Amino acid sequence: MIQTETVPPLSARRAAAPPALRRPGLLGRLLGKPTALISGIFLLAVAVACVAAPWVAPYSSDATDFSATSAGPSAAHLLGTDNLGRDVLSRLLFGGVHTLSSSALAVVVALVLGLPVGMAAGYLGGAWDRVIGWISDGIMALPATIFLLAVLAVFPHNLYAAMLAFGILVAPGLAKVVRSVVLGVRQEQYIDVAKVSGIGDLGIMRRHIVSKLGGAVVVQLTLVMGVSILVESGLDFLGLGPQPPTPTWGTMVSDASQAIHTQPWLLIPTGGTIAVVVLALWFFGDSLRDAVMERWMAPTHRRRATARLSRTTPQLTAPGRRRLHAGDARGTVRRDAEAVFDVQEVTVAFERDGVIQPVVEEVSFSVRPGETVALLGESGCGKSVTARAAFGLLPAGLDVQHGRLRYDGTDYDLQSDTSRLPRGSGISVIFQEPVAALDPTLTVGRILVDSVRRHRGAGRAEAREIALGLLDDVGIHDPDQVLGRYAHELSGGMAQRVCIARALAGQPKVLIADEPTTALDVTVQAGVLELIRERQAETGLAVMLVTHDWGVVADIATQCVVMYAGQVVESATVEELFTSPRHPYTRGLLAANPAGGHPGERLTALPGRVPAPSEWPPGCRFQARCPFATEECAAAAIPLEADNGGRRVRCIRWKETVDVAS
Amino acid sequence: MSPVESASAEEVTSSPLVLEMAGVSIDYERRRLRTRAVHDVTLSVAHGEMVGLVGESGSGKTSIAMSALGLVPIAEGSIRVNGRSIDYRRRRSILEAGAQAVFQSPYSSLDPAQPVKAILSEPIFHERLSRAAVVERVRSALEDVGLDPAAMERYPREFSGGQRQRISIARAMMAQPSLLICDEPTSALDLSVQAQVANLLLDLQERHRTSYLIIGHDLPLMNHLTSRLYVMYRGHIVEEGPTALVYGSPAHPYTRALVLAAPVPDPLKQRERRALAKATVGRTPAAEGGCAFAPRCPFSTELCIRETPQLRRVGEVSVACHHDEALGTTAATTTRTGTAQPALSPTITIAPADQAGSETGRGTHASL
Amino acid sequence: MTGKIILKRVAFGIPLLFVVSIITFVLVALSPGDAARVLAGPDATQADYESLRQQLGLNDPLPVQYWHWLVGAMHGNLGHSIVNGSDVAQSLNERLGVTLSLVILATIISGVIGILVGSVSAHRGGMLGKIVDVGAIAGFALPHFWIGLILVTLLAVQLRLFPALGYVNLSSSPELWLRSVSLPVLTLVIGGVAGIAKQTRDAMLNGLGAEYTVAHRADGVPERSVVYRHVLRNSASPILAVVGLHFVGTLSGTVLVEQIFGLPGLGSLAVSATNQHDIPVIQGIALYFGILVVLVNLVLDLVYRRLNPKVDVS
Repeated sequence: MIQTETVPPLSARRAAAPPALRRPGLLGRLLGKPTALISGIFLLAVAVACVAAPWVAPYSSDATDFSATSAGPSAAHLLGTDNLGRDVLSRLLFGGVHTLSSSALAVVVALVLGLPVGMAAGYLGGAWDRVIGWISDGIMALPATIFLLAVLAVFPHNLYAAMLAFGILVAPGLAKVVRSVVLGVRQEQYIDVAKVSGIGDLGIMRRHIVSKLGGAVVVQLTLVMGVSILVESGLDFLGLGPQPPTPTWGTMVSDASQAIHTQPWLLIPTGGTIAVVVLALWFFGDSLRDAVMERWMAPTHRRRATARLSRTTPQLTAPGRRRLHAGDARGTVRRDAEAVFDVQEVTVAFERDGVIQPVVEEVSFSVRPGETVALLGESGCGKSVTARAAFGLLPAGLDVQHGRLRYDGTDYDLQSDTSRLPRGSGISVIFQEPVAALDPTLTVGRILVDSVRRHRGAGRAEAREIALGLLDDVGIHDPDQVLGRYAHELSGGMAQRVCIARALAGQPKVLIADEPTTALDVTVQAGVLELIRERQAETGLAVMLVTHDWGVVADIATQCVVMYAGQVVESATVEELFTSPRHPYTRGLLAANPAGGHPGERLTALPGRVPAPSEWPPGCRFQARCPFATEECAAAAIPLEADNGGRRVRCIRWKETVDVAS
Repeated sequence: MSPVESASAEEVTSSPLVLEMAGVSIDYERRRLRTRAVHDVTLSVAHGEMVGLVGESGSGKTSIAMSALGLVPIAEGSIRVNGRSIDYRRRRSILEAGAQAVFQSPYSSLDPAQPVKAILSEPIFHERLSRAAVVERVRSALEDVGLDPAAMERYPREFSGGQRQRISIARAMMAQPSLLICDEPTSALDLSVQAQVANLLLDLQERHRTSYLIIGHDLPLMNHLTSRLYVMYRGHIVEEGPTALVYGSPAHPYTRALVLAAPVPDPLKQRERRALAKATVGRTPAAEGGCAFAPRCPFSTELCIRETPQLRRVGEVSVACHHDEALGTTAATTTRTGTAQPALSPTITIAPADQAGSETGRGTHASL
Repeated sequence: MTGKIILKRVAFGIPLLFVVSIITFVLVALSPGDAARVLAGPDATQADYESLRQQLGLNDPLPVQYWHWLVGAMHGNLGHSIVNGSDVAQSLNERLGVTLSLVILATIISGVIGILVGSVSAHRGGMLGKIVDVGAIAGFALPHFWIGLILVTLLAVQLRLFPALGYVNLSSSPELWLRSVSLPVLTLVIGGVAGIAKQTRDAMLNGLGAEYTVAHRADGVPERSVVYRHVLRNSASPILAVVGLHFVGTLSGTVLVEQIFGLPGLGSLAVSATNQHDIPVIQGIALYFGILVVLVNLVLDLVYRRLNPKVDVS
């Protein structure tokens, strides 16, 4: 018998916080990143060297050496000399201050204007946002260079005036970025909580919004600095900046351009300096942003997986692979001859840092025509992943390690052979978020007609008729109108009916429903489940349903497969499961259901939480939460055992513990 | 209990109700179009009560919660907490009146950039306590919800969904509120964790005598937690009364549809309920004014389409339906199996709310 | 429906042009140079100078001067160059063709290559994706005028494949015209194509991970169709936006490019006018560029409407 009292002291122990993570300060985090370190030091060195040019440069900016004109790099002149024998390195150092300081001016102006404007637009919203947006769009649409030229026509050779104007032109871009961050934060519930706690608008900005801006603003500022340097040197290049003999990076490139026939080398150190400084800024900004955000955000996984279809993967050979449960010897699961959809021993894993981590292990089940098999479990148990693996559409990063599917007599290898699957015409899917599952740029009619034509080869007019019929079949009362609508114009319930119509367009034998009603209102849910039942009765459709809701299982399923931590822990007919559940997890869940509790009394809650894949223990994965766990449970992997009636349980103690209960 | 300040003693003691919403209407503006989201709602929570508010999407229940917390302005009516009126323009009014909130999303409710200590100290920010005193309060709040006090140095990302919800609850309790408004507090959690958090809410009520307004859509959970229940549909309250009665023998056609639509974890019972549920759905063309539920109601008549029904007291519940008598509100006044033969509807057999259920001894559940 | 869009765009564009012209006009007012003094020359008498001022309308209050300019502009009269007295509108029109060849060619080529590369790299990933990322960073960090010079050095000077300077009219010899614009266009393209490719790739990756894409695949839509029809169409908005931005960028870039390659376009005229404080010319060029931006944005809007009719953009 499962304990009926809640266990506050136990849950207090078990809900202990995980050990604190080592958390160095910002500087410490920066120093830990090689990119930040190298680029940061480089930039610092350049800035210091340029400012200290009078003392640091090997030669003065106009010292000529006619014995070594237009020379390449040498010991005396590290970066060579120009046509007047002037040392390139020294001139670069002297010229740097001008470029760097005027660019910095642009950055300051952009920050001073863009940050508060962006915050105002994002936080205040409404009319403020619209007006600011209008002005920003206008400024961003102007070709910047022309304006700068106009400014320079008015203030000749005054690059500071030009860069100030440039800062104004660039500020809207910064404001836009700030605005979108602020908008995102404003919608979070912790902002509402802060308001209920009596915190004023300024307080909210200070406590909650500023911390989110750090990363984005830092990146923007380094980008602005980079662009400013490029623009500024461009203006110098055109001869609109300080006149010779004052050295500037831009005029040095211009001099080099005069000499391309005689001394092409000169282009390299001059333009190259600009390029390298801007590159360093880019990399520094990138890692600075990471360092700022890392304090409270998990570090982003650098290697970005592409969102393409899963390809064939090599078998598990990487070192450190986890031992699969040997207890589930392959082939021990009886194949169901009558099944139209028979999934065998699916294992799905992802790879991180060279280790292959399974998330679903050796899951098998089968569905007969007219049957509904429910895959039931809480979040993190792997039920959705299993469903996706079964029709061959796993998201990026997850791969089927092995698994077989027999559909309607044909075998498919789920690891390598999924492109052959009859998607839409044999096996169809409906999803949890029906509005999101419909292409936002296509009308319902377009989607349905395309589907009908693809699966039935019908002409356009005929397909439209069929589409109308499909909509009627799913209980939509004005199909003509709905054909012309877009996804965002549909309610959740109606969108799911459209998705069902689409799924049935190809007259499939199997329907996979991944939490189809979780996002819908309960009255709408009842209607959708009823619809699925009707279609099933009419066509003998086999349904595989993924859900976490026991009520839905009781309503529509004939068989139920309970999953926990990537494994099947129990499977039985629905009647058997509800009247005599065997696995302690199943029993715990049924007991925790509020529909079964005494109003006002405590529910029998399962302590603890579902372990993440990296936390799976070698023995029973439920042992930490199981009231009947013994040492034997922790010792070795628990096999999934089937009885003569086909019921399966993954528990070595179920016989004893069930007896105790009754 | 609650930091009620300059309100006159008369104002406070004369109100036995912790929350009083009278004739509240709320408008919702989108792209210059103003629609009424909530119509003339009157709602109350007494001291120590746990009251539920159920409805589906579009019912207006979230708007009610938001207005009670002073986050959304009301077009008409008044809201009082502990006798003090709640003013949307004065942000402190809700805190001073003694109410706090717990929201639905464990992820969106906690600022990921703040350590738990800072999160928890936000509601008592105004009290200007010393650092040590704050730490002490935070520590006891964390223990109160069953979390290790060492959690105060951690960041939200280090906690699971259930633990985060506990943190949110701990934060709400920091200001020692007399009223806790919870908007779908367990909807985003797994079933096993839902039970933990539901139990925690009951624990806290016992320990601190807090009053609750719980907004949700999960009827079995509401039945488990609350003693009184309001049912909303499209901005109107359609039924109100003791939870056991409203859930066990619903009087309003919408409540019936809602109760029967929620599937229970018992295949045999579910089959019966489905048959009954079919009788709750009808279809007539929609119309302006009148009863909001009329287009879907199998019993609607011309009167229903013409005139908006008012909430009327019938026995122990209040119902907003023109045909409440004809539809067998005798069921509301009986506690045994009733086989009333109302003029308009087929028999709806209703079992008493506390009938023992099954053989496995896993507890009883309300059956319908 | 289309008409409404055009109207909206134009309605937005006109105030923009006003703003452009007003700002440049205000800058004129601040200019230390004195047009009458310059035109009159050092030998003119005071009386001549005064009458010239009267003639040029320089004694009128500023708003009146602006009004005169505006009225003139609407009739196609943009005033006269301070430097050589030539008709501004005429000079600009003569040079418009050169600039248009550059910016339009560059935008089209960048757009086509960028979208192609971006979508393929989103689909196939791997090396191409890395190249796009690196290319985008390089396209951002390397000074465009420097790239142009390197190209000239390598392809024109060392390898003599293309002319280093000069422009040949399209009407006189298409082949020579093409050769004369190749390097300048290449410079402009190198500057921006990677940015378009990256934006395309990012938008497509977003779409490839979206629920509607999984739903398409689950319905048996062939992969090629999924990527290059559906996801690409859904990504049209950010892609077209970045192409529009790129166009604005080429207008800025052409100023430098025309200088480097000695092309007689609006950009090089702008530079010399700046050096000579020839305000009416600069004002005229600013106006022309503004009109170009409005027109191109309008075209992009129409293209988007064609791809995604009735979809609510907001």
